[in-house]
Amino acid sequence: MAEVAEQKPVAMETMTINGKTVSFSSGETILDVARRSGIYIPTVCARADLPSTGSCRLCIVKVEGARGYVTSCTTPAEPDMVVTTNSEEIEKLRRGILELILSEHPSACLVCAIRETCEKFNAPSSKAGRVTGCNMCPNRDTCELRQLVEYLGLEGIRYPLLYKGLPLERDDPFMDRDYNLCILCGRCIRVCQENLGLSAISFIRRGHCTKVGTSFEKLHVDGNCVFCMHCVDVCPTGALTVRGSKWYGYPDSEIPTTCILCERGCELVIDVKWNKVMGAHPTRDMNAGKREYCVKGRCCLPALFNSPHRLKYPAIRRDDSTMIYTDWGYVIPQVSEAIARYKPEEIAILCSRSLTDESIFALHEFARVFAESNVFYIVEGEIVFPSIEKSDKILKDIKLLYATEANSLSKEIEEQFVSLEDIIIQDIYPSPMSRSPKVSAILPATVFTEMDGTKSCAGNRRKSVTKAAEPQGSAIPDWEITVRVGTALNSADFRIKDFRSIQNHILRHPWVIAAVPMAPKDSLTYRGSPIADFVPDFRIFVEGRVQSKGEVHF
Amino acid sequence: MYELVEKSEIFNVHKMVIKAPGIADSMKPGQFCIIMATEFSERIPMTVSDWSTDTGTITIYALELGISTLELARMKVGGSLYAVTGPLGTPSEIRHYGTVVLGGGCYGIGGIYPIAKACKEAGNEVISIVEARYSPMFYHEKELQQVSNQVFYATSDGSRGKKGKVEDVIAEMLERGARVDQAFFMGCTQMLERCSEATRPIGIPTKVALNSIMLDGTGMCGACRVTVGGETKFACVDGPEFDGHKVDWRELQQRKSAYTEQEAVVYQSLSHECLAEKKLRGEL
Repeated sequence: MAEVAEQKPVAMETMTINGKTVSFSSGETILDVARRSGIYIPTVCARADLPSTGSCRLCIVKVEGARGYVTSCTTPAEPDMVVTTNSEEIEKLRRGILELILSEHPSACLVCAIRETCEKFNAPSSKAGRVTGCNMCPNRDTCELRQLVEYLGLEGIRYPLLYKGLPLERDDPFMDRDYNLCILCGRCIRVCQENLGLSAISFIRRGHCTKVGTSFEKLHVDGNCVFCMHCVDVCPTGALTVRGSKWYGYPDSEIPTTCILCERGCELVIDVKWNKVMGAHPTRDMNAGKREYCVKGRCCLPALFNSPHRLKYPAIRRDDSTMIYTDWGYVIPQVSEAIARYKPEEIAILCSRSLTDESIFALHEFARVFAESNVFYIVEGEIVFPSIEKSDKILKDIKLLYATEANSLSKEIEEQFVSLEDIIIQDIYPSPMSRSPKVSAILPATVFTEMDGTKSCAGNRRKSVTKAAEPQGSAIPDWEITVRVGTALNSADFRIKDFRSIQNHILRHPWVIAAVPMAPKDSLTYRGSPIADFVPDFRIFVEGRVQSKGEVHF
Repeated sequence: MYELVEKSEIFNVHKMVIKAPGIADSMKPGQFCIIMATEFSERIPMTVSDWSTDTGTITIYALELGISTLELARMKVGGSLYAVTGPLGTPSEIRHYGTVVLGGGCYGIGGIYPIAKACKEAGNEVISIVEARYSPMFYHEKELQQVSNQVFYATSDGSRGKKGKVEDVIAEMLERGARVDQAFFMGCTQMLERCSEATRPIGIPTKVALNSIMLDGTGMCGACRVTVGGETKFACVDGPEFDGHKVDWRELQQRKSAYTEQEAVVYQSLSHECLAEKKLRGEL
């Protein structure tokens, strides 16, 4: 807190920008003051959340009394300074600077006569390996250079293209790099070095050959890079991209939600197109000053949730012992009948730590009424009963297991349930367990981007989870499955009937959620399933890290 | 298995020379092949730009525009393709027309070469027009010059030849009063449409090589169907060349974007062989 107070002194001075009197505090640059006062100055290299270096020169302004033009991003504001941010002369200089920047950036599409029709027919842009124009660039819809060309009204580039001819760098997991598109603004280096303190990348080589790279051009996975993708987030061009989510163009909607892969509960924005999760990134007004994400939340979600292996339809065991797909209307009475066949002390519920608070509460309520509160978790391969009086001898009596993360049920755990007769699976992915002859029903649930709810995270914070994408197949949220089965069992004691009533009960019984163990931040699984099984690049990342550093942290 | 004997890249265009003697022996101008990089790859139709019965090789120019062509782009000389099927499609109609204009863009710069060669051999005056974004993006140049009486260039940024596209060069030629008896065009759908519109007003007979989404390439599946002159045609067996003035371009564009969603989603779980993976396997 002391630091914040130091940065914002109370004394305010005034200066003039474009004839408007504006106040500023010491330490602010002309660009800071202009931005705060709603005066636009074009920039490529400067960002409010990064230290400025004045390398692109586009932010030049005229300061009365000063020689020539100064870069507004590096010039401190001074009392009674008189600044002009745009004039015929400044715009002309800026156009010249932009032309020089574009002479090293493939930009023929910007000056092409058929640009408009071409972009209309080729939307989204084509999925080229080597990008030779906007039409083939994954960054086309959010490119800052294109915005500047528009703003400055640049109509042609007088210089021939100086194409660098560098090889494409696609040998790392998750990340594609094409430094032929790089304009050397240095944002990626500043965010990595000065804001995150990682220094995975730097300017290497000299003169015309200058490029961004790792020391000795090693692979990123072998260096300090943690694949937080902050460099991608701040890159104004298409030089740096996330391979898995770069070719869908502009999303249909951007939904803010919380990543619940681990206890940290990072806030992120889900890019949705075709009702699917296509990408996940920080909010547009993100502060690049802190590390927002690990590679799991930033890069793995689309592959994880759009996996063709997802459970999509309810399945039930027929009398001839084969499994068939069916619908909810048929499966719910079947499941409730199966549960009614057993005494409450013969039923146990495996609750996943990755569920939302509503789903967890619904399972506990279900267990309280129908299973003598026999809820357990699997933490690091071990069975954990939350209440102390539940002990191992209970395991002997269990005949029906209701599992919400079947992938963490190992052979050893199954063997501890000596009198097990029936298993009901409620999950998102198939598991070795789902092929067991004891399984009588498989109920497909939704992932956290396909449902509304809340999640209690580390530090006693409860965060909101928002539905972004449509569920796969006929999957429904876990709490809804529980409510439907519980309602079918027809007990007056079962108090929850919809989302709202669950939330009301959570407020009245907060200790239920508080007792649930949380997924640690270094967890390699989601709902008991290894993320690497569904995201090939994640396997490469984890195995590479373990090989080079002996361990993997997020 | 079909060995890859030569490979080079010119701005996302990958030249691939593939050992396929049986195909090289029976190839005719305007025909194509369907290739598969691995047993589990997609089948991709590719125009054959050159072939040699002496070496038993065919040359294709493949653009990387998705994960199937990414597999091709990342192949190395000495590796082999799982399958090459061909020749497929109806060959171009080659006879003495008089003056023939050939327009090519993207893969079509290489693709028009065998047609130009055959037209020249049939005694035609051959004028080739090629377009690209910048001057360094032209390829297969010397070969094309050898079989053309004249070669014109068009670039988006004006760095070589005319600033503009193939149709701008044609418009300029026609303005000068040049006589054209037949036109062939090969390139992206948009370019084919623009060029056909350029030759329509004065009624120059125009053939365009369509590139609709194709599966089997032998007329069985119907995935490649296009509407030409109100009739449904199969680009694989009835084409790939059709009368450019009769093609339903809107329908073709729409059908080509039918799998945009799947094409974008498949990148999410893409597992392309990379150095990091090879290192893990101890191969480096």
